[in-house]
Amino acid sequence: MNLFAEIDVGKLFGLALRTSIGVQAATFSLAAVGLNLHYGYTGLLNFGVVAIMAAGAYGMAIFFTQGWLGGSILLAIAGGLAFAVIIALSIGLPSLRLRADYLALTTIAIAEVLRISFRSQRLLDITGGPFGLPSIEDRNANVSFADVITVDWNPIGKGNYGAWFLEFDEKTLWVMIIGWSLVSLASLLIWGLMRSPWGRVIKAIREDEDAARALGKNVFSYKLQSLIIGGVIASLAGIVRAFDMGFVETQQFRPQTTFFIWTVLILGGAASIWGPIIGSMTFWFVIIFSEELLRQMVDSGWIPEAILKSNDIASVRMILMGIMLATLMIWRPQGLVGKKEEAQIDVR
Amino acid sequence: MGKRLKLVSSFIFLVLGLLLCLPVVANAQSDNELTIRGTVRVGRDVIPDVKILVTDAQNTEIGTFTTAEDGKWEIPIPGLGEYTVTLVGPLPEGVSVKEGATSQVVVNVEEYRSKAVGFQLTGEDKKPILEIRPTWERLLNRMVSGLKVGLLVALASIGLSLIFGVTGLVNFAHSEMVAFGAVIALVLESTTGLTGALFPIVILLAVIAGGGLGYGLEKGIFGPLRRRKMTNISLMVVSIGLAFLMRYMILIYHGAEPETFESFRIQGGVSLGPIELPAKDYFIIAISFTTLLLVGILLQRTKLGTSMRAVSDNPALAESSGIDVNRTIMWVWIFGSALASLGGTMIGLTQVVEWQMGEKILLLIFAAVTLGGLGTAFGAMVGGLAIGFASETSTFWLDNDLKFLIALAVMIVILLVRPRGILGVRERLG
Repeated sequence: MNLFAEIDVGKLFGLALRTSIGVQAATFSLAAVGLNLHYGYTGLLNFGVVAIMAAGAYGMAIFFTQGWLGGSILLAIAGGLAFAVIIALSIGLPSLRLRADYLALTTIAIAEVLRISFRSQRLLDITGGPFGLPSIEDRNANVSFADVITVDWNPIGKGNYGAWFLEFDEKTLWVMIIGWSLVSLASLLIWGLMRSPWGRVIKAIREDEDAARALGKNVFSYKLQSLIIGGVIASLAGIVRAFDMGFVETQQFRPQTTFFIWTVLILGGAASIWGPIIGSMTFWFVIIFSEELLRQMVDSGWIPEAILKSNDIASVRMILMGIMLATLMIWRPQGLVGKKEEAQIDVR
Repeated sequence: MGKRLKLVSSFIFLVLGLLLCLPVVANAQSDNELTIRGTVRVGRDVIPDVKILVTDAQNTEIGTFTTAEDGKWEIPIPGLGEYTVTLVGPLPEGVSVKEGATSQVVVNVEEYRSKAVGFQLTGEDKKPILEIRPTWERLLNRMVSGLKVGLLVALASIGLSLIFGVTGLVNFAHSEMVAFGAVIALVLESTTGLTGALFPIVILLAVIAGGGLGYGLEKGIFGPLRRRKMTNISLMVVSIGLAFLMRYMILIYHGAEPETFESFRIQGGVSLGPIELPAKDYFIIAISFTTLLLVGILLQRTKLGTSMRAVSDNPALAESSGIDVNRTIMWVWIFGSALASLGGTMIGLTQVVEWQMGEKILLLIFAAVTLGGLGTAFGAMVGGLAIGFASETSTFWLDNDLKFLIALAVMIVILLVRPRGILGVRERLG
């Protein structure tokens, strides 16, 4: 049996390409831009990225569905960003004094505190508890907070655009445009910041905190500023994802999302402007390509059921992510486009 | 400056905490939501303190509820469809599921109305078998099971703390070592048929397998990487990758279905004075307690234990005084992983064995070692006991799903006011 005769190469590349330019890649890239400021430039081991994304998405959804800000989606987004800043502050204030590995533990703990709180049945009326927002009735009636953006304010006419596997409907295309525009804006902002005196202090803190302190810089305050700016960028990623999916629920914000974004950043290259973008596109290409290849191999009988069943293929994604994270860290900590001398992190 | 900041951040946390408590106090419950509900009763008597679990058709947990004084429970569900309601227990002494009936009921919710579900239970001899117990007795029982959970978390945490002590690695894969132990024990039990009185052999084998896993990880991965002079932070990221690899390997090869040990299905309670627990809980408390005692003796009184503590204190000094540091680190991995495996098996005994158990216990373990002080075995014991006890006992007042919050809140507060933990001596500030 010839393996190549069984494999649909076009579908393989088509699906992988589709995902690597899709909304998912855009949101992961955006979150990675935020994390890049935290980890790549400032040297903060923030393992609570997902908390900031959740705060943005949930904040926006709550403000909108509760009508607390007059039911305006723009004000609701602003509310979501403000909530994300509060969460970033409550991550930073107690834990920024801690050594790097303890910072990692604390941030991951705070992320889970937030997720479990959102999930609590006591908050059912506000956060929708385990079912998320919008409520079940609204979702059954196909009403969502995303409608304002994806339907009412959508400048693209109804229909499908593109061809082959790269055909998107007008909603997806619009959110893709928003997502990648935000990625470009955020990357430009970081590029500008890193050329400013502020950026030089931030990098100095990463290289040698004590030296920066000896020069009279308020290290704590700079770290906090970095956390807030990166946090706003990451929370935008959460908001864009909420618009794409049309709902928010706590399952989307499990700790594994944080690790996905870490993998994206390390794959692309920390402390580089292009790292998060190239990392995210490559990451999704590799993941979807391998998943689809495995699926076709299992379906055509090349891989026996005993080794891998077709409904287990979704788990392979997580295993791939684990392997990528570990092997990159060992053999290529600077990722695809990063500089090696900027990618060495250690704690004293 | 530092003091003021501490004050400000404490204040923010206080406010956030209060905000979280507000809805708890307000007890908002609307009438028109879709729920599955019922009352656990035997004849006319209602049964408090019984845990009910609802899962959907994909076996995802939808919610749990522990019945109150009136025996009533109610769990919201996301929509129409098929759900499985499980009576997790514990049932009071003399009460059991009626012959021919099961402790799992599958219901199909077809209309937007709350669905009532009942379990068929019987008591002995039709005599009135249950008086509602006084509150203090129920609190006492909750505290004893808190002690049990505390002992288990302590068992599972020691390895993480010891490994950090001798190598400086925060091992995110540690919780998967715990899950590994439980899964190996379950597989061993079902393939070898060593059930009931022979079950301790299974535990022993699982502990040996756990030790083997620790040996393999140090020999194959972390030892060589450490000699390549990789930084501890990079190694931590490697361990995160490893954790995902292990967790999803367990999912693929063990399956998504939660399972229980053949030898210990739902059991009736056994009374000891005012305390009433399933028989297996006494067994678990005894084993865990003895093991912790043994670990303490091993660390304090044996040569190996002394060298572990010495390497943990100062590797360079230990090396120059003739201790084989690499050999000691290897033993710490074997020993810590074996303990994690034992902890996992015990946790599997009290709850269920499933692929996600590592993810679920990870933060409890981290909270425990942070509270006790990373790097000290005795800190992990104290921290584990405290975290397990606090989170389990809190369910007496709070919702079941909030108990992790207690553990995490304790951890965050400790990092705020005493970053080195209760027994830690190392500098943690950066």
